[in-house]
Amino acid sequence: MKSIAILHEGNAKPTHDNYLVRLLIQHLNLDNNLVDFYGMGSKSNFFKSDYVAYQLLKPKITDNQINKILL
Amino acid sequence: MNNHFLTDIEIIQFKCFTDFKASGFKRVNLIGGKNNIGKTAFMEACYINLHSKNIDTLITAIHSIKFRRENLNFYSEGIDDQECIDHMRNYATKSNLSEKSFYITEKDAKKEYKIAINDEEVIINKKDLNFIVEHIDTCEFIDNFGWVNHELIEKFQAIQKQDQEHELNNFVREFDNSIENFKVIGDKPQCKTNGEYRDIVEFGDGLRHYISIICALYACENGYLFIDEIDNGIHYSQLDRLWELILTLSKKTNCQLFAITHSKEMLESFARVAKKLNEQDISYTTLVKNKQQEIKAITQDYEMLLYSMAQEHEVR
Repeated sequence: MKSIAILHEGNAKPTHDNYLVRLLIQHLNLDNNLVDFYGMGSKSNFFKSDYVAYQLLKPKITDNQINKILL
Repeated sequence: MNNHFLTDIEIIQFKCFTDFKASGFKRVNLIGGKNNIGKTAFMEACYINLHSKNIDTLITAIHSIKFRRENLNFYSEGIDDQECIDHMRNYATKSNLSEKSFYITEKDAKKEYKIAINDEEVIINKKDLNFIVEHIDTCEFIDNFGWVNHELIEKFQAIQKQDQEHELNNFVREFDNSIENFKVIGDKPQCKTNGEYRDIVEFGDGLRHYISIICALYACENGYLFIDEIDNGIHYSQLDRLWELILTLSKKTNCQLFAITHSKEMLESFARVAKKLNEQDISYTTLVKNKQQEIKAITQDYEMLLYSMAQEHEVR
């Protein structure tokens, strides 16, 4: 389990965007292993409370498995 | 048809669990989590809840989980049935199906068992407890040591009764094409290879485990199967085949299955095969500890699991 979630627009599969963010985390000497990416698909999904990423995140936040979220 | 499935459970008290809740269980459920978090204890709590139809089946379930955990010690030190039962000081669960509890109380040097099954409660004096083994044949537990010969032989009878030997042999040949047949000859499970039957102990543990799972799925028709360390002895290249078999057979026999794994490959295979077969009646539960060190369950359904796997999340 990771403690930081980064929610981004785009494909659920790893993309060049999150690869770039990983390189940035690495460059800043931060721990990549703490981060999980959540591809939200289109922008409108950010506003859907029943979107699968939110369903996954909710129990993880409630049970203290994730303590930082970056949108 | 699936009315007998356990969908949610509250473990009020049992081993490391206090006021623990888990829900969202489907037909095939995989359980993960770090070492010593309570995965086996969780399955044991579910097993006792489902196996206990009356006092004898409840006591049998309590006895059997202790026996399974410590059978190697019992072989060297001997077994005391009363001790096996007495190790369980407190057990209380409430599921969507039933409510069960078992407490041992001591007052004025008098020991009593307080047992409740749904609304019925009985108190039995220690001296009056008559241990009668009453096993529910459609509720089985395969522990991480796997089944011994007599268990395998007993469950193979379910295949014989249903005339499914041909089906079993097809599964076994898919697993290892050098094996022609599986049979019980005398009191020994045996496999035929190069035209000759040989004792199953001469083959690898994976084969015995594989055959045990097939036999158990037939034996637990309209029942429940629990498998600890499901990938024990199974080569990674056989994992998809194993899940295909489990997802297909459990549907055919209407058997609810709970299994534990630590293996990332096993989990990936589970998601991959479920997707391939479009089998959505599955769940993956991770046991975790929160800041207060309480055990919590995070359950993912088919859609959530596939999303996590696509994102390459660390979900074990």
